[in-house]
Amino acid sequence: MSGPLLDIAGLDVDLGGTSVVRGLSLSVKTGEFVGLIGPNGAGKSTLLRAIAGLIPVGGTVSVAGERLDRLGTTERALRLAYVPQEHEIAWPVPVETLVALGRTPHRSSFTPLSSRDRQTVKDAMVRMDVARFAKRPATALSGGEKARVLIARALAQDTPLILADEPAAGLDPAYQIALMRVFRDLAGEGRGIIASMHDLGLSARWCTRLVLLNGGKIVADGPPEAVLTPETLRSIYGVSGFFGTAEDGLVVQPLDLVERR
Amino acid sequence: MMASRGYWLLIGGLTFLTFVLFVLSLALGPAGIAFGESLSALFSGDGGPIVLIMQEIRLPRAILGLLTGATLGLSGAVLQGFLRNPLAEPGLVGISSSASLGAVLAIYTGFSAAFPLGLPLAALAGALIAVIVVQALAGSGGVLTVILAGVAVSSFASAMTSLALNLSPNPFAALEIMFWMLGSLADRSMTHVWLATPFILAGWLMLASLGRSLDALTLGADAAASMGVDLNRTRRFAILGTALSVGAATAVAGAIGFVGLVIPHILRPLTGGLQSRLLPASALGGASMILAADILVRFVAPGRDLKLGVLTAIVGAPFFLWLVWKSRRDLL
Repeated sequence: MSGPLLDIAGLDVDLGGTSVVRGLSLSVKTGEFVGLIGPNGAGKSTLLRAIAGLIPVGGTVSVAGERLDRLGTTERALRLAYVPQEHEIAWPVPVETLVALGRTPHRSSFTPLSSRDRQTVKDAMVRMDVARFAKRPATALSGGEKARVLIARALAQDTPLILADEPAAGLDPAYQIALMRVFRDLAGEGRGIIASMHDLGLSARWCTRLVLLNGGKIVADGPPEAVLTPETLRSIYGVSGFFGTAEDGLVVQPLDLVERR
Repeated sequence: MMASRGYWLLIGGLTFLTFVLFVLSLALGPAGIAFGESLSALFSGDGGPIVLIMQEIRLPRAILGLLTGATLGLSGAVLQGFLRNPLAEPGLVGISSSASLGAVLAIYTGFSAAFPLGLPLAALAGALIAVIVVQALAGSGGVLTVILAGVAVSSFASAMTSLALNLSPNPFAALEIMFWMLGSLADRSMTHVWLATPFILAGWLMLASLGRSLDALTLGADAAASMGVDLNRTRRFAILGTALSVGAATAVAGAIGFVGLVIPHILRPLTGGLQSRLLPASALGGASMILAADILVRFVAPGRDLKLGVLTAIVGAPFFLWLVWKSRRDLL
């Protein structure tokens, strides 16, 4: 594969008569872990849902050179996985069964899980450290545990592109870092990850690239050092920040609100 | 997938139970016919009274019990899975009440008396009109739109049924309407079976094809769509499949409540919360419940024609209360 993994050109999204994303273009290569950052209402979730094909859009979204609007739903599900922001689990399904739902697009109707399916499910559970409660009903887990189970479900889908909406929300620091490592590793294995994030410190340290959205447009795009600067923090978020370096990585800590003119 | 053995035991047990109840439904009745004699009469060619009773009265009753019960159990499970709401049942999307309205209008206008299949055909027409209205109202909207559209259609159909009762020209028509709405399998013929079966089977096919999609919908509409589930097709099949099967079942048996609500609840914990496993179990469970209830009504009040729908509600409601009592800690 020579071209980009994900290619978005001239993307427009209208929700309820309001233009939420305007003329956005973005391309992501394999091996990239893209952090999608920006203030509330910047259009991060909308952009992710648009890429996943969940809302009608103007413009084109292509994965590995194929336009998604020309693919069937199953074909699309083999190319990208999506973790929604809400942790919705309607019925008390055992964790391993829930994670195995990620294999849905790989299976034809009425066939049992193949040994490859089982192995992928097991790997995903081990990766997200949820194999310990494989037999427990997912509805009985804590918020952070549910979040990890749902990410494991998306990993079991085994797609070249993974989209995650605020995957680190609700995780303790250890699991936040563990999740960042998993995403870095997956990118290293030749996948592409796009995750929306609010934790600037986490995204600065772990993402290979940051895309800063504001008002439905990309206002900065590049390596964390180039995107997260005192100027962007002040003009986009309206906060001042501490910037430093530790263990060869960028450290960003928002400090206080600044008066906006 | 995992824990498969317990699941197949459950399916095997329910199949056996349904079979036993089906045979009992054939063998038990006011005409005291010996067990072996009754079953051999089913396959006999001579036109004796026992053969007539078996082939013309008990066989259609047992078959309709099986079809109706499985329909209610299956559609209840599909609707609960699709709407992700444990309170969903076939009545919620307006199908049962609209079919009832069609039947009531047939009785009211004398259409049912003029033409033997007038009543079931009018009930089917009512169900199909309801599904067109619900589908048009819900459009490509979400789950909540389907529920709201169903409630609106259901309320309107109930109001029209009340109006028909209100304006009924003679007390006998009103009484006939009341009795029909209670739901019963008594005095149905093979003609009813032939009329209902194609619609019921077509509805089953649509509903049964939804297992995987409903599994994925456990994680919400967005996650399901991202796993390759066609949400529009799922909604169409769930609504149309319910309309065909429940519409046809209501057309021949009247409105029988509670089965579609209770059966999926009882069986869900035994199927690991996975909808694709719940569907066959719930169909068998529904069939068992209706067959058992229909056997009971013959003995609880023989000669008084206790209606099937009354019994399922009388037994079902307290049981449901107990279920809520037992699981209320999980619900909080």
